[in-house]
Amino acid sequence: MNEAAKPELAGRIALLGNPNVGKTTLFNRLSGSRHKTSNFPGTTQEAVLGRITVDGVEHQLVDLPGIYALNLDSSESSVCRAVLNGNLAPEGEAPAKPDTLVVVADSTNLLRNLALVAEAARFKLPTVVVLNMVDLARRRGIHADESRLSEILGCPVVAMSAKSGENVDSLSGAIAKATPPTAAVGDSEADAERWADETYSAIAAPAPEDIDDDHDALTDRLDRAFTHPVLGIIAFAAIMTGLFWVIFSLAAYPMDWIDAIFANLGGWVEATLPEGAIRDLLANGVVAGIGGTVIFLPQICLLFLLISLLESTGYLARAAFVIDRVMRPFGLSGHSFVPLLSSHACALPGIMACRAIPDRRDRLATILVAPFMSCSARIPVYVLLVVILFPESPTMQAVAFAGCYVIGGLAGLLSALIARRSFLKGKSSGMALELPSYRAPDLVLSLKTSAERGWVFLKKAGTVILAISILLWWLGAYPNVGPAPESEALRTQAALVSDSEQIAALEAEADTLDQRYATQRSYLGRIGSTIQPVFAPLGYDRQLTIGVMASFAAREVFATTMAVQVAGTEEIEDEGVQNAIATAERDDGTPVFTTATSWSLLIYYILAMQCLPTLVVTAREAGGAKWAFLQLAWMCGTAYISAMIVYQTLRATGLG
Amino acid sequence: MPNLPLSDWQFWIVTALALGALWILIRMFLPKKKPKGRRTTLTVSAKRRQ
Repeated sequence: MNEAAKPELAGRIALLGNPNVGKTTLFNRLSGSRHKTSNFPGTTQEAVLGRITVDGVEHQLVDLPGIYALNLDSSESSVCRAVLNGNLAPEGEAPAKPDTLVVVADSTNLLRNLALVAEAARFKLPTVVVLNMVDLARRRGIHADESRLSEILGCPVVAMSAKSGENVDSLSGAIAKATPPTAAVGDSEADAERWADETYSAIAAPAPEDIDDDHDALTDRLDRAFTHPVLGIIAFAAIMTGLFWVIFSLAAYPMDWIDAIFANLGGWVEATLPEGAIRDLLANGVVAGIGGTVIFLPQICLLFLLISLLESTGYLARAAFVIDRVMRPFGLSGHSFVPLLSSHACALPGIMACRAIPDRRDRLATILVAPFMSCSARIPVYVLLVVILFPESPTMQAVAFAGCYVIGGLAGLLSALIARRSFLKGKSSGMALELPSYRAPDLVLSLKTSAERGWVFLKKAGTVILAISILLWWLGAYPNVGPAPESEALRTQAALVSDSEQIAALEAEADTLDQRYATQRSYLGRIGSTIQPVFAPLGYDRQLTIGVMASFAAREVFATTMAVQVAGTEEIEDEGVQNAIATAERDDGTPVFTTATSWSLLIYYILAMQCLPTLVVTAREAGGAKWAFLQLAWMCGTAYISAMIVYQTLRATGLG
Repeated sequence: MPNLPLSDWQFWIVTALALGALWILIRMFLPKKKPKGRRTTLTVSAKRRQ
């Protein structure tokens, strides 16, 4: 059913709250949505729409960005103010004040949250205040009297836990009874704070018998370690390396299964279909191409599962705190941490999250360096090259994989430093960060996040990667050329000898020469040969050049491109897609992937800008195409020079 | 004239598929219509009520 055919909604309910109070968790629970939640501030950069039924009538539910105060000079604050004033509405809808405002407050941090409640009360909209995370507050011995708060405010107050679902059902009844607050909170910021102090004293008191001293003591001990300037960094590095080690160790099994499935599928197609172009396209184009990428699905699902688990425990907020200290000397503030962390999934949401950075120069610097963070599209290339470099050691694979993320991060920080010392000169602004309580990891949500990322990857495999596989196969299969000039002589020689082994050897050699000749003379071969001199200083041959060029459509296409190119010359059915790529040969018979070439490629893919949508978003968010061109030139230039240095050094020292 | 197997019907099928694939890739670089969906962006520069 399209949007236009949907019934008219009875009203609009806006969800307002501080960052990290479980607002999005509540939104998901009320609307049945699976929108990503985060327990560190800044994730919700857009309003997300859902539907909620109140008294049998459907209302629109708007999840507003998390804010610390309504009077701040930040884009999120101004968006919330404009929505509450009725000046702003979702695209395509008439601006109007929300019919009901639901202010979500964290019961464990009620004093600070009440200041926002006071600010919201000034808008005199029908309001419901939600005291969220009551279960956690109870465990920590914090008791808030919601009836007393309701009396003071003059509007309904509901205590609940959006995460566990405790008392969530009573919210729809409260929304139906929502009234504008009658409390006199004053006009100034000081008035709001005074009101919050007085109200907090009146409603909140610890219940000594319930206090969970052990939990607080554990939180303090963990925080002392995780936020320590040195220990915190070591813990962060150890946790991330351990995470990657788990990924490589566990993902190896499903990867082998997927590899075997696609190898057998290719063999089955070749054995079943009659000889011809369609069979070749299916076996060497579609199956090899898709298989070359889908094999990395386990890594992607596992990475996002583990990151999401970490995030739900509250650890990532501590990591943000620690990394803030690291970023400061490079001219970036802690505000940049969330955009840069988001960029590890994809640079697009990361760059869009930069809207939350209040300082323009901080924001521009973060936008420019965000694509240096290793996004999920790079994972297949990293995995392929790391496995080629360290075929027998999952530990070294994990270290090298973690190293890719470190190199990308360092390149981003150094680039930010250069930008902040030259064309974006100035002091970066400070950041306030609230550390949430430690919580048990949310396995269900993490599994959903992992499944969503996996599905996005598979959808891409079914569209862009399938299209590139078909196109590359066609370009590699045509035009038809006759046998190689040298193979004629070998076949003539084979006809003259009587030894059957010698005949077989000569004919096999002639077949290989024909294959190489056909590949070189194909459209794809000619394109590769034309561009290859540009990448020759980096050690790339014709096939790798095609792989790098095709990656400008999508980085993960590299493995597919290599798979399609080697499918015509290697026995994928026998050795699997990954091994066939690893053992691919150049036109002169030498290996495509030497140590020097593999490191050079790895460095190139870590640093290069190969994503058109990111450039478009950069131009939009930074306020001009010049920023996108600067990003493209800087990243590709850095990647080219660094890869060349690595390749030439390894060759010169005999290590490659 | 490149040596293409114009008389082979299979060639025309794989060529049609390749052209379809090319169109999918070209479409990536063309400006897109904004998708209708539940997720929306609120910006301060959006239309204000007079």
